[in-house]
Amino acid sequence: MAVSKIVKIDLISLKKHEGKILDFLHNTGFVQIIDKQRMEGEEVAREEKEDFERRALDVDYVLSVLGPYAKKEKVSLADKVALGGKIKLTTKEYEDVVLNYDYKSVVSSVKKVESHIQFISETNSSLIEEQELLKKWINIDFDLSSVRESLRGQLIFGKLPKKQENDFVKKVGHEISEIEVLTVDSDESSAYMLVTFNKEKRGLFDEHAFEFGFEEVDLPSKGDTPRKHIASLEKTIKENTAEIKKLKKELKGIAEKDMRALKVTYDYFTWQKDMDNARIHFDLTNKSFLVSCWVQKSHLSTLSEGLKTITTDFYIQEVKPNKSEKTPVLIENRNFIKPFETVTKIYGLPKTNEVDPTPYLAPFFIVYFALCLTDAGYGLLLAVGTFLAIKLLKIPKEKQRLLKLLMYGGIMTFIIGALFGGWFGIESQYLPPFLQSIQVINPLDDVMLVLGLAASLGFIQILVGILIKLYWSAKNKDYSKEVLIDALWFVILLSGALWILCNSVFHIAVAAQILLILLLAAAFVVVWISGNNVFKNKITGIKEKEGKSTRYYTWLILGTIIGFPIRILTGILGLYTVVGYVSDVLSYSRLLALGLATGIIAMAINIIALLVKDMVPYAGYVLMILVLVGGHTFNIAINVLGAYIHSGRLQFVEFFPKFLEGGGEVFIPFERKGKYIELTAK
Amino acid sequence: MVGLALAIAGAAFAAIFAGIGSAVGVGTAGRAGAGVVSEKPELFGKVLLLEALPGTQGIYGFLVAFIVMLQTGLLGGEPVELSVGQGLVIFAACLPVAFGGLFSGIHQGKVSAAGLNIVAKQPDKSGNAVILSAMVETYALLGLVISILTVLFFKLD
Repeated sequence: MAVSKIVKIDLISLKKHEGKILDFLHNTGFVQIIDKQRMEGEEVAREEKEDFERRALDVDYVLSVLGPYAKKEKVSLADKVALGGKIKLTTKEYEDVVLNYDYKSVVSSVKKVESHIQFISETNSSLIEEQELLKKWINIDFDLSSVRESLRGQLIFGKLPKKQENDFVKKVGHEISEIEVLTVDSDESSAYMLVTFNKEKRGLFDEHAFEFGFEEVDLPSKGDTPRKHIASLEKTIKENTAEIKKLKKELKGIAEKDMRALKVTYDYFTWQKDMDNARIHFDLTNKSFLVSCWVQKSHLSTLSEGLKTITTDFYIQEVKPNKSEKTPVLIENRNFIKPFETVTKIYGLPKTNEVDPTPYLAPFFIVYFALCLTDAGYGLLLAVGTFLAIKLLKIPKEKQRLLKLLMYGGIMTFIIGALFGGWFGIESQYLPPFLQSIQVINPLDDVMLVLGLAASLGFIQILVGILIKLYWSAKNKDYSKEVLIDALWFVILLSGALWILCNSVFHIAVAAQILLILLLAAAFVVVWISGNNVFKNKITGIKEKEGKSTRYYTWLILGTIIGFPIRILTGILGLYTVVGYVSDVLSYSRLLALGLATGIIAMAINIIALLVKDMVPYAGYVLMILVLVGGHTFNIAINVLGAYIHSGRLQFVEFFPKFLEGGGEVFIPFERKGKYIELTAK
Repeated sequence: MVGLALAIAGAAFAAIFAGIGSAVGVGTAGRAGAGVVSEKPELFGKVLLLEALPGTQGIYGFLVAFIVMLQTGLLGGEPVELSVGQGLVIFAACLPVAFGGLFSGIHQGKVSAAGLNIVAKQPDKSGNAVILSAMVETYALLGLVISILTVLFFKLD
């Protein structure tokens, strides 16, 4: 029930057991292996290990290829929440797959099929391109493979902007003697033409061609006439598409058959890789190895019991951490308090030598949560809903925490809501008499009372925070100036509060007098401690040099007389802390605001629902129910969120700084966490 | 009627300005959120949470407007006759939540948008982003407390 004790150990054993021990550690997750900060080149030479990283990448690639082909498995909502979509597997099933599954052949066949598909579709797209090109020349009725060049003449294909066509034909016809231009086809933008000319005139032709934007087109010189060639291309494309379809079907078959085994294999390889990476931090001799780890002290005996099942050739030695090393932190609480660790973890963990705030924040958090909602109906819905979610969806223990926390919140909200008379925002005079009779406060009429309640709770929590700090300091024998000032503030705050109570509520004048004196005395000490003794250095300086001379006594007396007011003046700044405490207490007024917000929005929903009912005849009732259900669901969602966040904030900003610094490093166990699978014990 | 008009103007102010604050804030966070979701669709839930946070100011404004409408009897009853002075009091009472909501909504949106970096890079630490964003909301809440207290405590009869 606190920050659990974590110790550093050195585990020494023989190299021949290394694999098994590593496997055991990885499987049980008891330890966090400490990274060895190695110098460059100090890397311990290892015999070449199997490259699990590359294999994992291979399988990962295959999984990503097969992904789109795999049938979406129907996963029940329960499993989805519980496992996060992971495959549940017993250790035996897992080992069976790892030992017997021939992933290599699957990987290579998938790779082959995939690259085949890629090749064919690339071919196809180039064929389609060729087809598109030829379509423009479909009117040519000679064989494209026939000769395009003779001893003197040459034939070229080309296209020209449509509007230039006539000018171009005229111009080249006029300028070049031996030329023939034939427009084969044209569309909106271009004219496609066939030009024959004397080879010797090529230069001249190119000049004109450039001027008019004539562009030579390179048609394939194989096959038949364009029309026939297009037809044959069409046939090949169709064949290829059919082939792709066949190959994809093949992939689909593999996906259906092998997906599960591949996923298991992937996790197996990543785990092997993790273990290989851990090996880097082992120190070796010829026959033995040493590994340093963090482990919970309470797990030490279980750890060595477990290791004994593998071998007796090992030794565990508890060692003191180096000064530069930070011991990682793990907090452990009783089952009932455990859900509240979610809140603590948002802020971060305490340091190793600090107190775990979880048990202290729990009662406050839950009451604040309830005050932010103050609706018994909502509380009931929340409690029942989360309870059913936990039970029906069979969520595993580790993942229940947030739901459990909300369930506690729901129960508390139900109780406080009933006391405040909040039932789905229905005004108290319309409630059944029994519910009216258990109502203690009407928050709308007694706003100041609720505000006072919120502020008092905040005040109490702040006092508790200082108390924890004092207790913890005493336990660690820390009696520094800060601790003394905290203690004085505790006296000031407490006697101040009691003084107000005695004066205005209980009217006990004597007690009030005593409390006031106590308060002032504590405040004076705070001022005295916080103030500077400006002459201190000077006086001690003289004492060291001259001993207790006359000059020393003059300085001592004068310094004390003149120094006193200066000390008081500078010390008064120490009282400024009170501003912090006041603003902390005021911050709790958010509880009132959030609580009223929930109630009034609920009321607004009811009024709107009634208005809707009267607006439309008959169908009005349906609309009314829609408004009620939708509105209240929305209100619950938004306000539970607000209640959770703001109750948390009051812990982090107002409560924790009184006794906690935080920033502990998280204990990250060396353990098996699958991307796809989750092993179960059976 | 002038008194009543002033009171209703106050309600409108609260709803309008707090609403604008939320609209801008949610808009800012939403735009940033779309970027995160485009890369990591699985984070949609967390992104939505951060986007929703600056939305509460609008609700607070609505809340105060609603209480004013209840107090002046506009909802489900005869409107109360208000003097100009009374109308002004209600109007002034609405201002804290109106302006608190306007500015805190806009800035909470910016903090939420920045917090989306945390969500994208370290989804485990999303809780911290939520708390950072909620810090801004404090001032809308304080405005809300003052507005509600004033409107509720000011006796119209």
